[in-house]
Amino acid sequence: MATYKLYVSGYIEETQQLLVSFSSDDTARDAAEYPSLAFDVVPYGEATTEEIMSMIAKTAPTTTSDIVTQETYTDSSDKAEGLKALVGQTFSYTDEDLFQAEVEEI
Amino acid sequence: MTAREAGRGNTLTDWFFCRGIDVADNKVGVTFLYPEGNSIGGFMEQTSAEGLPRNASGDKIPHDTIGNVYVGFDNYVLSSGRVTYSAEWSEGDITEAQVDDYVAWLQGANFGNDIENLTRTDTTLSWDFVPKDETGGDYSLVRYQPNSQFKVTIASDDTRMCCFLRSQNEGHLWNAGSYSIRGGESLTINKSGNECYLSFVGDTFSIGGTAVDDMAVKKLTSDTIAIDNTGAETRKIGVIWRG
Repeated sequence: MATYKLYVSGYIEETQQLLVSFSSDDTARDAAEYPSLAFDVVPYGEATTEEIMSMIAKTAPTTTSDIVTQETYTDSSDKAEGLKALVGQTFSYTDEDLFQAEVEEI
Repeated sequence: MTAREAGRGNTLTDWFFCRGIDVADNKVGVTFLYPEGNSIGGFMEQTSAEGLPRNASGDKIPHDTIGNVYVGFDNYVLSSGRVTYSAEWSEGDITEAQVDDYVAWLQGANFGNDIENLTRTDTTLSWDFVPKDETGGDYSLVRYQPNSQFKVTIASDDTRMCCFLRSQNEGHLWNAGSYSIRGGESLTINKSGNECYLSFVGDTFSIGGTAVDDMAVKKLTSDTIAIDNTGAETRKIGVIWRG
């Protein structure tokens, strides 16, 4: 049975966000050593702090899986070269690029 | 849950919108309110009538015949569950006759919802909306509201709605409504206006045998479209159009 650890590194009152980082048995480091993710607590409504943590913990398998993927990723393919080529470039997107594409015509 | 300012002036809400899509060059925002992240008692409150839609002259847009009633934000397409609409004003601000006329309009319109628990006092009016179990439409949304505080409150834990948010001074340019399809039935929708969008408030719609994503918004460019509800429950499709 896998074990996941969550480390709460902060709470931003202005935006009501809880900062949480994750680790698992398979990650290289402990939770506190990873960058934290910000969770908006407003949608959790009247849930207690324990319930909020329990709900956030449900994302741990996915989050730590991503960490493991990053930590074990070695790739010298063309794609990696392409990704390296992105470094230093600036990209611009319009609202239409980001939102209108979701609205298909029927 | 903490109330916050909503997307327009004089409005507070604690609703959680699980999806938002901007359409029509961002002139209209379509947001979805589902059970996740929301609870009974969650509300959208227009704290005063000052935030009502304005015409090109900057004035609130009155009902043709009923005094103290104005064009509101006919925002909400209720697909499942129950919501409570309520209005409250200071004594004497709205007459009994005006409330009589507003209630008559309310009961004479077809919103695709049954009206239950209609209650009124000298300074308040409230009612519940529950979606009708039928295939039909287009239904109107609540286009008019009293010149007062106005509030929509979640009243059941299976409430699903989509909401149309228009700019305050462009609200009157858009027409909004809804259609309802019972589980296992189909409906053909005709395109309205020059620019027409459909919002699917449910995960059981399909078009030509292809499933439509839950909370999808699509631009209707065909003259007509046949939509199936392959599920067991009645669900609604919102429509917003102009031109």
